[in-house]
Amino acid sequence: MLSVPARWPVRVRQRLLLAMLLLPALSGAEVAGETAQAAPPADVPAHAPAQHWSFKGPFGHFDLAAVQRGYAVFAGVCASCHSLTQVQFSDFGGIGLTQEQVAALAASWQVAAGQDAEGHLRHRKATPDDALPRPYADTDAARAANRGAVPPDLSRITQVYPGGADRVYALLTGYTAAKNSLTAAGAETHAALPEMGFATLMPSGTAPPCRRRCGTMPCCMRMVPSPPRSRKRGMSQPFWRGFPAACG
Amino acid sequence: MPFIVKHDNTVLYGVLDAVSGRGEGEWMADTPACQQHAQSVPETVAGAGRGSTVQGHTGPAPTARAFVRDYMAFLLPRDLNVLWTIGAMLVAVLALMLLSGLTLALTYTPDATLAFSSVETLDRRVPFGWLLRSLHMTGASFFMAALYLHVFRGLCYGSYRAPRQGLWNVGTVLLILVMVTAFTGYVLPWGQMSYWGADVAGKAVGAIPLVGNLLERVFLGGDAPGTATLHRMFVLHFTLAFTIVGMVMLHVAVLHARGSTSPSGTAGQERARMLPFHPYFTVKDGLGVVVLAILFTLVMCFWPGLVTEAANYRPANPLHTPADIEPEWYFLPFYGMLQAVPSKFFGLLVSGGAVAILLFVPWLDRGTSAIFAAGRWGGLKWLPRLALAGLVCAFVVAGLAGRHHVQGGWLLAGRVATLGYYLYFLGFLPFYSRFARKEVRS
Repeated sequence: MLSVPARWPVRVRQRLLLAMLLLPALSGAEVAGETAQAAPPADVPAHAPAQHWSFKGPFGHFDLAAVQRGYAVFAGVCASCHSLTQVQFSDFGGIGLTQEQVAALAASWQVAAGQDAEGHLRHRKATPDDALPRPYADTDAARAANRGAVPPDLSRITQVYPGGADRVYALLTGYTAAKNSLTAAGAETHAALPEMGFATLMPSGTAPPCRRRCGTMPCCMRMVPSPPRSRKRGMSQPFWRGFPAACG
Repeated sequence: MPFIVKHDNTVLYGVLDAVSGRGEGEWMADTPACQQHAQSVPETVAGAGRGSTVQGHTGPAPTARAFVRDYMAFLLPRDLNVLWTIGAMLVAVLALMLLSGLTLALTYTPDATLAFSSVETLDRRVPFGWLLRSLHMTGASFFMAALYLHVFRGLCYGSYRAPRQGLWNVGTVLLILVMVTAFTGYVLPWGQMSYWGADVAGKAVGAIPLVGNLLERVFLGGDAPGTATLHRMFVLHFTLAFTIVGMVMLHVAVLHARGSTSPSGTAGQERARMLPFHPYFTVKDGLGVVVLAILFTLVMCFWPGLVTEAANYRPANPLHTPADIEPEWYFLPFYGMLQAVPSKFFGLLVSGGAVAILLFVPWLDRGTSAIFAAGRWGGLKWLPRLALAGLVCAFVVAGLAGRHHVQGGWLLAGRVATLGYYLYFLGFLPFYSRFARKEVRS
């Protein structure tokens, strides 16, 4: 119980002293223990160079022609290893396709349809209500087919990967031909982001066409997986010319 | 215009009010104090028939009409500043959360294998599902931000002092309920942060001695988060939402019984300096809600990254622990305090106690508003402001420390912040009120 205000500063001094004594004792014991285990990863990803995306900024919009070219690259190249599980064919209505075009596009894909009487897997043409089929039955199969690395699902790739679309772009356009025999076994070395650090094993042979066409890829990845929050119908070209080729 | 405000701060009630249906001067004469106003409800109900405009009116039952009239005529200090409109904003956001949440629940599936894709379906395919979900996510952040400001206002102006201890404690229970609801809601999308957030919370519960293991199993419904956890979280989230609505009603009812505080203390609560809720404060609160709605829309449409966590768009993976497990921003201060203490159980005590201590604030600060109005305490009027600024700083620094995982320098910062937070409640509040009281006596 404090009775005389004049004594108060003494109490405060005591408390301050106590606090000053306690704090280093509390913290010092812990710092020593934690610095050892809290080592940051040595290969922190460098920032990918920023690109001029049409969808950047609050008033950005999707270049639907680029999105459709991106789909063609996905269907022709990426889909052999990467899944896009959260996307259904009907979602492609959002990239500027009519219902008939979506149905035709879906019919160009084969999806699993149970087993026949002999226990063999059956397939059928996809309908707009089907999700995009996965390239591998499960993660074990994916791991076995890709030398231990599971190709990530692309449904939200530009959102969940640090760096977003810029990083996907840098990743796809940064491959160069392998220079030594160690990396030449099926994988290209990465020129743009050699310090990115994670095991990115793209199948050999994808690099040259990728350099040219994959520029539109992040556009597709950005557009298709996102909710149609700021989707605008801004198609600059009537319809992508090479589209049927990719579907067939 | 039913009310005329004169220059000497008195209000003339000569005109028949459209809401009450009778002369306000008469009404004012019966009820000399705000507290009596709430107790005189039966009297006003009985008096409803006297109004000439009411008799010819065929509306809802007289009790409902009297209830609405009574609430609309509720007297509030005229000098309430913008911080007092936050209550109305909270009610508006709560209504929005309830409506959007009910609609989202039509699609959501609380199952570990289906929850993530059901949320993706909401975002991608359900008509306006993306809008509903954005509203709900942005609403959660805005609700917590407004709630923290509301609590800050209470601490700043001593809204917890007698006779409003009950009002403060109903509010603190509401805060706890809202925090639990926010946490359970964050688990539902079953992304990586949802899963590992539930995991961390389960382990924190498991740190309680003796009953911890049992509680953890009850909380998770198993050894690890899974479908059973989602069922629990969904049911809690759903039922707590309506519990909160009930508690808000109680909160408002107690407010009407006790009357509102004022930025100028007891002087502001004098009858002559009060104005009825309608139209004065309905207009003012309406403006507050509109300003909030503009801010809300800007954040939701143009800066959604502020309220969403990218890592939660990865589906939950029990085999892959993310490098950074961190809760939503509104739990970061408590997360920082949890980590600042070396022991798991004491960390839980400290971070849970940081909320629970608000329940004891009316008894930690024994001063009454009259004492604070009278006492100058050696001219140290600035001391409470300084202390409160220290509390806010401690809260923010604890949040930053939580965000940086209390490593290196942040460990010390987190500990100082935790100490500073508790020092305000256990050190400053009890002693300052004693000195203020002594100042009045001498």
